[in-house]
Amino acid sequence: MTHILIVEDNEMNRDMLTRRLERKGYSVTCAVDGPEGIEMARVQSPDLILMDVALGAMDGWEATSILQADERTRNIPVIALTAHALETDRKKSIEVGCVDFETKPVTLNILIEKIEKHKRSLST
Amino acid sequence: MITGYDFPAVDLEQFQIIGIISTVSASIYVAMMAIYFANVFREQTEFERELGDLQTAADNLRNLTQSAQQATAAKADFVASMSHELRTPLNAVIGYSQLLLDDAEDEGDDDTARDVRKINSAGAQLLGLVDDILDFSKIEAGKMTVHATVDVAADALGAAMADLRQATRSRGYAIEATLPEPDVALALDWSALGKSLSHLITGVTTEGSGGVVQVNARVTDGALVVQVVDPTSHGDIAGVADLFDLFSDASDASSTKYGGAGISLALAQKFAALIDGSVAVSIDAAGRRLFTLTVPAALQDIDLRDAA
Repeated sequence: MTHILIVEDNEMNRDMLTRRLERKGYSVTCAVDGPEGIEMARVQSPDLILMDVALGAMDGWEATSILQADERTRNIPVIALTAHALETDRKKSIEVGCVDFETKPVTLNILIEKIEKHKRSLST
Repeated sequence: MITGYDFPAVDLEQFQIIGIISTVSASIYVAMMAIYFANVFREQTEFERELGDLQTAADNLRNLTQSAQQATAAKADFVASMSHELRTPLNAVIGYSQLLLDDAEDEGDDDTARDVRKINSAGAQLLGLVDDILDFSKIEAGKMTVHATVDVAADALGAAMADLRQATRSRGYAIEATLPEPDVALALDWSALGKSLSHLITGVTTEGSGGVVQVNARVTDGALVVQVVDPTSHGDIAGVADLFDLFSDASDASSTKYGGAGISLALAQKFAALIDGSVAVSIDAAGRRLFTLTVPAALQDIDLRDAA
C-alpha cells in the first residue's frame, strides 16, 4: 500500500485530505508542522510527501530543502500544496526540490494522477 | 536801506488767492496719497489673507490626500485579512462537500451527487470571487509589485494554458492555443501576465454555453500579443466598451447579458495595466468577441538566460 505523509497545519484540510486519500486506498499519516514533518519523514520513510507551503514558522519550502539536504529523505518525492496558483510559487517549489505543485482546494483526481506519477515504487 | 528801487504795486488779494489754492491742492494731494496708501495697505492685507487661505486649503488637501491614502491602505489590509478569514471556512465547505460527493458517486446515488455538486461548485465560485476581490484591492492600494524575469514564452504560456484548460473544462470549454516558437525568451512579469490572461479567459468562459476558445500568442515589435476568441456569438457591439468597467454592469441592462464576467474582465485589464499593457475588444463578422491582450516585452537572448 502506498504510504503518503501529509504535512499541513490546518486541521480541517488535514482531515479532508486524509479521508479522501484513504478511501482511494492510500495509507496516510499526518504532521502538523515542518519540524514534525521532517522527523516523521526520517522515521517512516513514506512513498510520497504532500507538503503545504504556508506552515507558519518553518514554511513548506524550507522543510523541503531540509529533506532534500538529508541523505535519509532525499529520495522521497515532495508535492507542494499552495493556496494560490502563482507562477512564482510553482517556480519556488521546483527550485527547492519539489517534484510537482498543486493548488488547494485540491481536485482529487488530478492530485492522484500526480501522486501515481511521482510516488516511489518501493517502500523501504 | 533800500534805495532807488520802486516796488511795484502789489495786490494783496492775489497772494491770498494763490495761498488758498496751494493750501487746497496740498490738502487734496495729501488726501489722495492717504487714500492711495490706504488702498495699497488694504490690498496687501487682503492678499496676505488670501495667501493664508490658500495655504490652509493646501494643508487641508494634503491632510485629505494623506488620510485617503491611509484609508485605501487600511481598506486593502482589511480586505486581505477578511479574505483569509473567508477562505478557511470556504475551503471546508468545498472540501467536505467534495467528500460527500465522492461518497454519493461511489454509491451511485445520482440525486444526492447532483445536489452536493451544486454546493461544491457554488463554494468554488465564491472562493474565486474572494480571490478576485483580494487582487483588486491589492492593485488599487498599489501593493502589487512588478517583478520581471526572463522565461521562454512558450513554456510560461503553456503552463498557464494547462491550468486554464483544467479550470474551464467543467464549464464545457476547451482551449486551442498557438504559442510562440520555443526559442523566444522574454523579460516580463509572467505572474501578472498569467493573472491577466487567466481573468480574461475566466471572463470569456463564465457567461457562454461552452465551446473552443482560440488563444493565439505571438511576439511582435517588442510586445507580446495574445488574442483570445470567445466562441459564443454576442451579436452586436453594444455594451462591449463597458466590459472592462467594474461598476458598469451592475446597474444597466447589459448586466443580464454579461453576467458575472464583469469583475474578471476588469481584473484582466488591471493586471495588464500593471505591466504597462492593455486589453482591447472587438467583434468579428460572426458576432464573436476578439480580446487582444498586449504587453510590452523585451526579447532576450536565450543563451544569456541559460548562462545566468
